Amino acid sequence: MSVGETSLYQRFGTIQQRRVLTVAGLAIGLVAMLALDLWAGPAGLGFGDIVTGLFWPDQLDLRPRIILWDVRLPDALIALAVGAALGLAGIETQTILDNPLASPFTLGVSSAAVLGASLAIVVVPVVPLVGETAVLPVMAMVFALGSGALILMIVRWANGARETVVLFGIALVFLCNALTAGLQYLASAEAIAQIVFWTIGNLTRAGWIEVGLVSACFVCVLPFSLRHVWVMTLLRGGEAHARSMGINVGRLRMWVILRVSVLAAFAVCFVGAIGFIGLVGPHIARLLLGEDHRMLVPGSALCGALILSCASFLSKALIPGVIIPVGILTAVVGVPVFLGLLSGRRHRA
Amino acid sequence: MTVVLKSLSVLFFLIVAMTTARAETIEVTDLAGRKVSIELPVTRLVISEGRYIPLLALLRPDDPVAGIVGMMTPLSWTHPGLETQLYERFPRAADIPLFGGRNEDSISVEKIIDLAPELAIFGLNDHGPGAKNAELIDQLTAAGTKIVFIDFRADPLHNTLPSVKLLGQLLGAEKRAAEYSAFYQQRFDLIKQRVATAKTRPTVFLQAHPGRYECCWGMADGMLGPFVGIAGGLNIADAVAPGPTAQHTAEFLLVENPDVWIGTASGIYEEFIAGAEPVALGPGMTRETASESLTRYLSAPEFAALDAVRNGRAHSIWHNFYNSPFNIVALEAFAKWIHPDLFADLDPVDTLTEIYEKWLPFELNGVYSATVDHQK
Repeated sequence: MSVGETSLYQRFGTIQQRRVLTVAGLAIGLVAMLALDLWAGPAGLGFGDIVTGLFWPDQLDLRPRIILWDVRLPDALIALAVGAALGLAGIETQTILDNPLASPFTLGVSSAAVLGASLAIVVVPVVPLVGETAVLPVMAMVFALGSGALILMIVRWANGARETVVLFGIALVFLCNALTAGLQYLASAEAIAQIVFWTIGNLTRAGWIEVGLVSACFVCVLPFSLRHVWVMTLLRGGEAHARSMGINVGRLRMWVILRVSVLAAFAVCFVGAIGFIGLVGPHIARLLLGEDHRMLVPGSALCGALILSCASFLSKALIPGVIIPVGILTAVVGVPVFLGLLSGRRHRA
Repeated sequence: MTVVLKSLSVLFFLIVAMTTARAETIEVTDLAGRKVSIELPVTRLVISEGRYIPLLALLRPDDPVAGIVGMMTPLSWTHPGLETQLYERFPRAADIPLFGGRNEDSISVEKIIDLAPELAIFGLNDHGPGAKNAELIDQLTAAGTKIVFIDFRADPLHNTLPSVKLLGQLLGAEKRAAEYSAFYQQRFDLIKQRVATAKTRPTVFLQAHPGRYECCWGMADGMLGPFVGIAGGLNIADAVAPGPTAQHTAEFLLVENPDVWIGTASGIYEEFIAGAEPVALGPGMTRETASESLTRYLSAPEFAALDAVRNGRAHSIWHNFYNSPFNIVALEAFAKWIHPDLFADLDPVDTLTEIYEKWLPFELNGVYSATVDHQK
């Protein structure tokens, strides 16, 4: 871009405008992707049928109505909710730990969820007040939140030192993986298969309640993230810099890790460990939008939702009639986009 | 003590000398296509999965566990109810050492060698060591153990009777093996004959582990999948699945709207009582509870809208038939469900009862197939 006679202020205005447009573009893309995801499926419902069915469900026959409302919609919407939650959790983790490789999974949240789910599958415990079918997500969530609580204790104990947090998170990942492997060693073949499927991550297991819970969690956490966009942007300039500006980084780290753990726990406990989104969603957003968290927070959530929605579409469309678990496809979708953006930036530079 | 040991070892050598005196070496080809020559009679053997015990009981009803010096998994893994009967009637079975956990990797070769079996019976494709495990095969062969592979799982359609015959040869029970094969073959042929006259091929979805696995894992050309074709049905999963099994959306089911839905139930009575989701069959279940378990699972809206469920053509079959010489019962059930008009006189329950009465030293306990209660 030529500098010319334009002032710095004007240039900033242009860049800012372009970023707002990019976020708007992502949002439009997301709506389009959702429509595509809702349209895909072996039933061959046309867009017209879908629109009719969405607004006047009674006008559809029994089977198309069930297909739209009980099969397609919950799957498509949970993709958005989980993708957005993981995107948001990812960007906040990366910033707060100042580590481009960090994601909610570096904190052990997802490994702990897998451990909880495996326990539920292998031991089949009876949990008071929890219905039989809810035991698995509840156990996954309890374990994920438990790992979050452990991390928080470490943050306090280490006075918010980020290396300690990352190292402890990784140690937790290994511990949870080892315990899960130990459970698999004891489990029946059917249970092992169940654990493997759960670990891959799949959207089809979610219904309306799950969609509601994950969305509600995202909506509750988002305002807190938005309130912190300024200090988080400042933190991108370096921890010492932020401290010198009077920010209590240790305290900030506590709050962010708390909300990220809750968000990631809700996201993974219903659909399984869909790992990649929380890592690459934020990076794609950053390549598109720069470091300003005012744009990056909504942008990262949108990117996460967009990738997962795209993966959800492909999981149904690649082999009609058969489902390819979405966890297999997230990286397949995300990596080319990521690499494309990276090489694009190299050319511009 | 030493005196006892000495006399025992003398006795042992005497027995060995006697048996070798009338030993006979035969060469067999196992289900992995390996040629194995082995000295008969076999007095010490190990098996991979406890679920082969019913097969051994079929061949040697007087003592199903005779000569078994070790196994990988106990029978309770797949058939706890039958294990109770086994222990009651043949208490020695409870003392058989185990040499592994629940998969190939958990096997202690050292333990097998220590048990000094003359013969190891493994499955071509079960949870134990497979025919591709060259290391284990070499180690055991070097230790003097012959290995044969049988199969009721990878290709039950073609391997069931050869496996029965092979074990009959090795265990000196050729007559019983031949009798059972004739019994099986006669029933199999009857189904093929009548299906050949069928004018239609109703569509079928065969769902694995309903309630245990999330919706909807279909058996395409794997496990019991091919039985659907033999029974005169059109397996809708087979047309789209890239592998032997695949996961389908509920939408696929609703669109294809199969004439018949069959779930392979792996739930057990205890799970049913606890209100667990897996569709249950087997010991402890009655006709009513089995149907209730299935009906409960199929009450979800995506199933309730299927014609198969509304017309009472949704059924459950005991999952463990998929790896069993008694899979003929599953085939008969499929045939009767897919072509009720052709097989009105056929009752798979009678066949299973006959198998237990005629061939096994155990009592039939529980229900092994069920039909949805579509009036509910």
